[in-house]
Amino acid sequence: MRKAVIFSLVVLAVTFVDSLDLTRDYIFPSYFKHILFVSLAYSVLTLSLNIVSGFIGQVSLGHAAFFGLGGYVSALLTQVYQAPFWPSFLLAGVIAALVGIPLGAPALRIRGPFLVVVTYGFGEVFRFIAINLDITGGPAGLPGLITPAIGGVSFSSIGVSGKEVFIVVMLVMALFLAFFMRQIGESRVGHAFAAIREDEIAAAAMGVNVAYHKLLAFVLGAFFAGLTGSLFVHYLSFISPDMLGSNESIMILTMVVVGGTLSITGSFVGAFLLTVLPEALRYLKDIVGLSYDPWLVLFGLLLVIMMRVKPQGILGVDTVFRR
Amino acid sequence: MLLKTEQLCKKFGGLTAVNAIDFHIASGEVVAVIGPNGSGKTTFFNVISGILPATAGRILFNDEDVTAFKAHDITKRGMARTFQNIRLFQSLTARDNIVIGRYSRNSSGLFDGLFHTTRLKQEERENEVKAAELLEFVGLTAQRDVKARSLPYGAQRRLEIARALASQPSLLLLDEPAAGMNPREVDALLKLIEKLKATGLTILLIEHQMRLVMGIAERLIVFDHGEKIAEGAPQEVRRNAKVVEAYIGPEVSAGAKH
Repeated sequence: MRKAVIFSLVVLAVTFVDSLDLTRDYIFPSYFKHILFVSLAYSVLTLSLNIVSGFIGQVSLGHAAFFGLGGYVSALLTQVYQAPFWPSFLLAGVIAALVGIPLGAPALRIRGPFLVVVTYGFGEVFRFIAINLDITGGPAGLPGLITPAIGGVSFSSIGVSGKEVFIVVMLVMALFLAFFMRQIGESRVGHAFAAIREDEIAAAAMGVNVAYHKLLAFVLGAFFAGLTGSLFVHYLSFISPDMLGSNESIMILTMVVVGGTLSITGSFVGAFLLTVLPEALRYLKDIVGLSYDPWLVLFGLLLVIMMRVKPQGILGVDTVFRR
Repeated sequence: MLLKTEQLCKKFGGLTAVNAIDFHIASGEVVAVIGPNGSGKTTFFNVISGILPATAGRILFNDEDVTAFKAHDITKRGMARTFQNIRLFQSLTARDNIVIGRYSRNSSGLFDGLFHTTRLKQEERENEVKAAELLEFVGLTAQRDVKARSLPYGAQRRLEIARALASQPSLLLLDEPAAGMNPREVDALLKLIEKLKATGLTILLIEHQMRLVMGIAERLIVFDHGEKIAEGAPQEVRRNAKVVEAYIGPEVSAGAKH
């Protein structure tokens, strides 16, 4: 709780310090706020994948499909059907959650590496659909999405950079999801998840409906990823099929692994670290004068070191990748 | 009858693991299932507890047809079990294992979980009391916060029984509870089962250790190649020629007699 308050205060301070107009120059340029927003968006995604990977211990490589699906649903509703933002936002979550059922279904029968392959394929199918349909704008995607508004006031008209409200809304989502996961983790549903993670047959023998709870985890994860996708594309006012791809999925899963499966604080750490680090290294590249981006090399190295030194993640207590 | 099976069959492809078993157990009885390795005892347990679906036949639990029920539904109706190869929640503590064992006796859902309602809090208090009682009962109070995988073998077996008891079953299935135990652990287990018997709990167990079976079971069922070959009081079954043959092999010839 204290961590959540401190975290929120820091985020809000970074977001609004410029609005006070204490100095002539911006303390945090628009670019910083962009990074902050993206970090928060990935925090929500990482948390939502942690419902699947942490709570029930299943590895999914298709999580970005829900992120992108939420984005496309919301983009199409607002652009083609002229729907207002907020209903589209909710519907993006609901549709992603419904699609979570067919992705969760194979998890009832298979697990481990087999499930990784199935979920990977699932994510790629969505990417190819988005590339090949006319309505989704093909490989170029859909530009010019509407900016959300609250009570007729557009998000971008508030604050110095126009990103402030987006940051606050994403922060609220991240905090709500963190609260949600903490509460559920310590409830009877959390017991069911823990039992399934440990031993499915024993869980069933304890009276846990294994199929229902596995699907529930996938549906909850997909719902929150869908919501994030919607807000994210309206922030960029643009969506492209890259958002759905396996690269995104791998990135989110890496954030879960680096931060620590099952750890709520770890999800934030993983998401911020892996969003901020590549941006920081881009600066380093300019300063040192490297001809290549050191990020990809360091990224691989980081993962190897993580797996050797702390396979349960920075803040993880246990791991789905048991030794 | 608490539990009754009629012509129960389980086939895996061409292999008939359980063949046309008629079986019954009354409330308060202690019955043991014995038989050589691979005779279908554990498969029989898996079918009646709903972990494997039956191929043919019927299972009646408390006069209700539960043949097509999944394991979690059967547990809710009052059947609990342990496993031959211990299936504890290894990285959870002894206390957590028992609390999860209480799952079928609680009813709070997602909403209660999100807002930690009075219902959830009430259940948590009950679970805590029950867990303390059961840890005491199996002598693991001191190991309350020890992870299941760190417990000694005998303690793991006892914890698994406590976890099964947490669901307040009317029928307890024990699959080889003494497997791999040393004589002292077997004695402790025998005392534990006697205590359970005294509370009037109905127990069905699979066991190889004759000492345990003879001391505790009122009735024996003998399996061989998936079929029931004998049934009766322990002393009778011991003298049954078919049982001796199943365990040791057929008598060689009359000339071999002393």
